[in-house]
Amino acid sequence: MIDWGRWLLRVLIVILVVLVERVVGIPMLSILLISLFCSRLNKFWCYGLMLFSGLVIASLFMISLSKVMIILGLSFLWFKHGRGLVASQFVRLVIAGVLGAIAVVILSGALWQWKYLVHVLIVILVSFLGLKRHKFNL
Amino acid sequence: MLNNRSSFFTEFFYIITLVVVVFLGEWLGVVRPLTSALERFSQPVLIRMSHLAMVINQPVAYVQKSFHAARRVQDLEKEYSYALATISRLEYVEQENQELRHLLETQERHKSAIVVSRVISYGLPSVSVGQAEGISPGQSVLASQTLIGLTKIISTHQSQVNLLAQNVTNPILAKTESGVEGIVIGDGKRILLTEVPKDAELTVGERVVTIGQELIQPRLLIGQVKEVIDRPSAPIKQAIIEQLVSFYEVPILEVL
Repeated sequence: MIDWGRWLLRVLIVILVVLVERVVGIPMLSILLISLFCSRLNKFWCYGLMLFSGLVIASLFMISLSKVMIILGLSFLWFKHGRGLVASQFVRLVIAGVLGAIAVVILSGALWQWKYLVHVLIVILVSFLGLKRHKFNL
Repeated sequence: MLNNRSSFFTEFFYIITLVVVVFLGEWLGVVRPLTSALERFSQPVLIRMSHLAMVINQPVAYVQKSFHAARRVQDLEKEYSYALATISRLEYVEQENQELRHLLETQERHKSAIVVSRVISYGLPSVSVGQAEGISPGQSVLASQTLIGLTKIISTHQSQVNLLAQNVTNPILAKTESGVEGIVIGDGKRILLTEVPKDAELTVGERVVTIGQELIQPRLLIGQVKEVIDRPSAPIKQAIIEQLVSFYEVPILEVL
């Protein structure tokens, strides 16, 4: 059984983060959170969350939904099944977020700017502190 | 291990199926109304968030500017006196123009439509107007009467702006006050007036305006010459253009 309240809360968190990151420029934390939340849900709710979040990212970043779904799907697969290559969950999650965000920026037709690096570092710091509290495998 | 591999392939299959379904939805035109509706509903929130981001960024921008405040005030004073002189000259020209128009009885003026928009993103510079407001790619984006970029990717209710410093693919024809012509292009960080003949005279402080081309009106202010780059080995001259307004400091823009 799925807890509706928790699922909706996750959806709202993702929407809020995507909105903030639209203003900032790169959706790293959004992709990171989507991968993390999806890995903890069963199949139906996982793909539901992925589809809904993908729709929000696609509409805000002006990319086609199919491309966003490919990015989210690959990030999720890498995070969930990349243990053989990188043991640390945290590193896998950060790699998924960074690569996914770069892909979104490039697909939306923008040039990579070095100021995005500040955002990437802040997200890494925030996720490190956030996940450490939840006894995550760092 | 085998179980893990099987689980990976199962999930990979589900994702591929989902992507194919979404692709079909896009092809059939089912996705577009959904994204348009989401764009529309998210716009007020994005405008407020952008405004908040600007307010948060203001102290940083203020500190950055204060380093060169004294020189900037001197430059502005010089500009102000120059502007006053220009205004008096223009007033005379305007009066003369009105008299001529009156004589010719041509009251019709061709004014292109100006669409006022607000900033919705600073990271990927974007404004809150799109196809629904009649915007098309390549239109001029102005801040305080200064050309700061061109529209690039357009969706139903928003447009991405290619700022002049990042405009590496779409050259803009421009000339200085003294009539030296060149091409304005960005190198990722700076705005350059390039392809200027070696023997042309460029002066620091000169204003650079557009000559006019498809979708870009003539006489739009781009900025001032900040520095002239004249390498002995180069066949052309270049100049770095400074803009007195920035996309990151104005909440309201005009799309022409």
